[in-house]
This record gives sequence, structure tokens and C-alpha cells, in this order.
Amino acid sequence: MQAPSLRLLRRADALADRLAGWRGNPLYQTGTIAVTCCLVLLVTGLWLLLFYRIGAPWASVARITDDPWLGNWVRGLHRIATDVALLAVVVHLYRMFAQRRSWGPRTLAWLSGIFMLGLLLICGWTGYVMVWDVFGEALARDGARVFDRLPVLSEPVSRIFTGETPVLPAFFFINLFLHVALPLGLGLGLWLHVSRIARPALLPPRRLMWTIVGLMTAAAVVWPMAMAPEADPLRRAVTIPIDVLYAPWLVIPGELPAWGILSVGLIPLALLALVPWLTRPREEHRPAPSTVDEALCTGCTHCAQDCPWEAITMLPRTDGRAELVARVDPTLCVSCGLCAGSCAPMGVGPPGRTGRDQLEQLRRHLATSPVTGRDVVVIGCARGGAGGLGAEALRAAGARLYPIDCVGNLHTSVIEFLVRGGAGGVLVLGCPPRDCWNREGPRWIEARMYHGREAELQDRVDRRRVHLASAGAGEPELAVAEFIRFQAAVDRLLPPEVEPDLQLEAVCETALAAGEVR
Amino acid sequence: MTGGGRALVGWGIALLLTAGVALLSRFPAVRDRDQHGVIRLAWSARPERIEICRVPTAEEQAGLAVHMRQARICQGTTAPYRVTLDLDGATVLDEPIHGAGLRRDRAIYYFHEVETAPGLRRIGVRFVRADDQGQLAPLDTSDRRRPVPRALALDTTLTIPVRGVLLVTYNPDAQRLVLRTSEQDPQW
Repeated sequence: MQAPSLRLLRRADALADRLAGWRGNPLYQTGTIAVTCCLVLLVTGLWLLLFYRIGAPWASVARITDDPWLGNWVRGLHRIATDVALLAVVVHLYRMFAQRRSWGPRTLAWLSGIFMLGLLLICGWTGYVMVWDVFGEALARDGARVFDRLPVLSEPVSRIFTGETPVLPAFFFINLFLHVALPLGLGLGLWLHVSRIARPALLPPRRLMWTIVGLMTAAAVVWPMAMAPEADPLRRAVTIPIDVLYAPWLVIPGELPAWGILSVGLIPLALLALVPWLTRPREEHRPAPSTVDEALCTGCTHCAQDCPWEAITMLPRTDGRAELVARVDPTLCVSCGLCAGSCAPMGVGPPGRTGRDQLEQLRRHLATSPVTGRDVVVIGCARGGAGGLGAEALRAAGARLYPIDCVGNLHTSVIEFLVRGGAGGVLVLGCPPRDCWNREGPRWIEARMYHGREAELQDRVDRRRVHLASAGAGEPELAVAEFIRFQAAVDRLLPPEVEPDLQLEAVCETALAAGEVR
Repeated sequence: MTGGGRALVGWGIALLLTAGVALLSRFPAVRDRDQHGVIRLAWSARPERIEICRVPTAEEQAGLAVHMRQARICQGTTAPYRVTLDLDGATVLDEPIHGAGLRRDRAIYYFHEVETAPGLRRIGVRFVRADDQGQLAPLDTSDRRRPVPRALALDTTLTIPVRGVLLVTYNPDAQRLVLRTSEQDPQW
């Protein structure tokens, strides 16, 4: 199921990239958009709470709604933010599922996400019941019928809504308490959700964030809220203005049996909770976690700093050397390989993907297809602009494509090897920074190429012959435009000097022996 | 398409999506197209308790620790009841009712809805103890926790409005079945 899901996601990404560019693509920002909506809900909810009365729920909400200057649109914004939050969470789940980021060390993030989705639904349901209009009543009755099927309470909850007695304020107090208290659970869930990430991004880029808040506000202002009729257990409503996203089963006319509501509401949640185990590859197909060659490790701590999953810790050595040594926790490592690009002596990384392995693979590649001084080699992320349509377009434009897993685990020695080995230029084409499957690949490669971060691109490399750009999977034109621009710049340069038989690993080892590598 | 054109299309899609979410947020769902009314029978009541007691034998008492010996050993349950609903002289509901709980020793919680065409209807509801053949001793109504009477009846003729709900429930203070209807509808 994941392969067709990924194809669909790529098409959606491609469309959004073409229309809004990767900076404005909301599909890359679903998690942070959900957080933004929760903040909007918090602010508008606190304001609404000032005017809500559990003794007269419908009347107090009607009074808020009747205020056209503030109350109506604040309530409208609160409501639409509820829906956008749910949509963002569902798309976020879909994205993580399609990109196979739902198992192993990411299991905690997945399960806490499901937990938050459940809480978000309950917060929504209790919010609608608070209004106590015909929709709130329908939700309360259905909820009570489901509760009555579960062996929890000795007295059927449905009795509250039969009309035998008026619904007591105590019910609305409990409902309000849940509606206010559960968001605290959401906060706890969010903390768990990002607890294994070194530098979580909680908000989208400002422009996108304010665009979404503005669109939601505009919808609330342009389409004012209207009160549905007050709940009356002794009247049957013909139509109910329902929120389809929170109560899809109410679209079906008539009364769905309790098991039907359960199957619509809870069974999908339970199935989602099993995804980490259903999608986990067989052991032989799982990417191996990073390892450390302790003889090469200088204790510089950069791999531990750059790891987005906090899977690397620095420990005292036991072999008599004074410095620290890196140690990878295989239960936390997702095999992203970002550590491989951070290690100057090329001693850390997943098996077969360390800096030394990358140089070896490049040598084998160049042995069969050598580069010339006219060639611009595009080292591109196969999941981004250098994959799929982008790869075809780049090849058609004359690029020498060298696809890799992630530009974040590209060791800068590979760039140096190509430039000093005679390539006209090297274009590193990464994913959009907010859509890196390994979270921080574009960020670290930029710092390593241009800002001296370990393992930095050495000064001896001609900077006119290297260029870093990013393009999404749906932006082949952007990828080609970057290539053509850079090719033109390279064409204006004199032919490069060729340094044959470069042994960059040996340079590294010499420096290591001399204590120069830190 | 130019960059400006794309941005325009992007904004158009964003506005459409926002409008779509707003529409889904207040979708007018048709819950019940039918015009029929509903007779809802819903009440809770304490059933009469039936206890079968015996005096334990001397051997049984001797086998028990002193603090566990009782003068009488009683096993109890609650009385069974039966509810019937007659509509215009025809019985449309006739079913037994027991106390709640696995041992049926808790209060009765009854809920049943019967759909019916709107209009003038003659309604008869009976709620009687199923095992009473007229030979049971009269109830002690002075008991503070008095159970539901052995026979309750409600007979009336009224107009059931379109999509209205007629609630028949039990008033424990008056110890009789009562009718409740919507206050919002002037017909009631």
C-alpha cells in the first residue's frame, strides 16, 4: 500500500510545488500547520470560555454568535481551525505512512501522533456538544449509545438524553472540563511526539503560517456562523448542520447502530496504531544503523551534534586515548546517514555509506564513465528534484547525474574529489529544506559547503565550481534551470586542472596521525 | 504558465479548499425525511425484590466461623415485569423487562421507541409485574425505598405532531406513568 500512496503523494507534492514553490507548499508543513491551528484554537477558545455558561449553553453561545463584530467570527475561526487541524493531522499521517517513516525508532512519534489524533477528535466532539444545538445533541446521543455498549458504567448514559428530565448543568460541566483538560493531553502528546528529535520544527515558515491563519479568518468573516436550533430530545430534526470531518457517520440518514459508530470512529484509530508493526520491513531489508570506527574517531562531537535523532552519544574512551569516542544507539538510529557527512576522518555512518564508502563508489563510477572539464556533475537527492521527472529532465539537459540517498550524508570529500579530479563543476541538488526525509540534510550540507561546519569543504576546492540548490520532486523545471545557470557559469571558466589519483582518505589519516583533525 | 499565473492558480485552489473545509464544517445533513412521530417509552424504576430465605441447619452453622453464622440465609433477585403498548387498540409492543445487571438485581432502565404516523392516536401503556396473578400480598408503600407499583397504566388519546416525540415515563414521586412532550411545539 505504501508504494501507490507514495506515488499519489509525489503527484500532490509536485502540483503544490509548481503552484506555490517548495517554500509555500503546505503539504510539507502538515505537522506544523496542525500546531498552528491548535494555537489558534487555544487563543480563540480562551476568549469563548469567558462568555460560555454551563447553565445556559445554547443561549450563551447564541449570544456570542449574535455579536457580528467579534463573537461571530471568533467562533467561526475556532470552528474552522478545528477542521483544518484535523485535516492537517490526517495528511501528516498519510505522508509519514507513504514515506515509510512509521516504524522502528519512529514508532513513538507515530503512536503519540495517533494518541493526539484521538484526543483531537474527542476535543472536537466535546466542543460541539458544548453548543447544545441539534448537532451537539446528535453527537451526545450517539456517544452515549456507544458508551452503553461498553461495560464501563452500570447505569446507561443514554438516559440523560431521553427527555425524562432536563439535561443537568453537571453534564455540561463535565463536558466543558473534558474540552478544556484534554488539550493538556495534546501538549503532553506533542512533547512525546518530538521527544526523540534533536531540533523539532513546531511552526511553519511565517509567510505560510500567516497565510493559513488569514485564510481561516477570512472564511470565518465571509461566512458568518449561524445558530442551529436548540437541542430538544422531544423533537426530531429534519436536517442538522453537521461537521462531516468530525462526525461522518451522521451523513447517513437515520440512526446508525452503536457498533457502526464504533467502526467509523474507533476501529480506524486502532488499526492506525498497528501501522508501525504492519509496515516494519523484514529484518534482512531493514537499513542498518550507523557504526563508528573507533580508531578513526577523534571525539570532535560533530556527529552527535548533527544527528537529528539524538542517537549518538559521546563517551570516554577505554583504549587509553584522551578524547571522547562516539557511540551509536541502534535503537534510536534511523540510518539517515547524516553523521557520515559530519565526520572529517570518515569514520562514522551506516555500513556501506560512510565517507570512505562514498569515495570508493565514486571511483568505481568514474572508472566506467570519466568526467571531462566541460561536465557539470549533479549530485542530487533521489527523493527530491534529482529523482523521477527531475532526473529525466536533467539528463535531457545534458547533466551528468549522480543520484544519492540524501545530500545530508554526502561527504564533502566527494565534491572535492570530483572538482580536483577534473569535473567542470559540481551541482549539489537537495530536497526542499522543509521536506528532507532525514530532517536536516539540506541544512547541514549548506553549513558544510559554505560555513565551515565539519566536515567542511576544504579551502583548496575552487568555489566557483561548486553550487548548492534545492528543488522538490515536482519541480523538474527548477532543477533544470539551476543546472543551466550553473553550467553557463562553469562554461565561462578556464578548463580545470586535473589532479589524478587523489587519495583523500590518506590525507585524512595523515592529518589524524598529526593530531590536526578536530 | 508564468510564475504569476501559477501563484494565481495556487491562491484560487487555496480559497477553494478553504471554502470546501468551511462547507464540510457545516454540512446540512438530512437526518430524517420522514414525517412520522415517535412514542418513546423511557424510565428507570426500582423493581420489587424477591427473596427466598431459609434457616440454616445446625451442621451448616457448625461449619462456619462464629462471625459468619446467620439466622437466615437469603438469596434475592428482582421481580420480572412486562410492558405493553397499544396503539389504536392494536398491541404494537409486548415484552418482558428485568432489572439491570448480570444478576438482574439492579434498577430497571427501560428504553424503547416506536415510530408512528402523526395524527390523532389512542395510546395505552401497561407496565405490570409479570408474575402477579392477583395472589401477591399488597406492597408496603411506607418503605422509604419503595419499589415501582405492581401495575401501572396510562390510557389517553392525543395528536402526535409531525416529527414529534411523545415520551412516556415513570414519575417515582407520584408513582404513575406520565406523558412529556416538547415545550417548543404549541400543539402539545
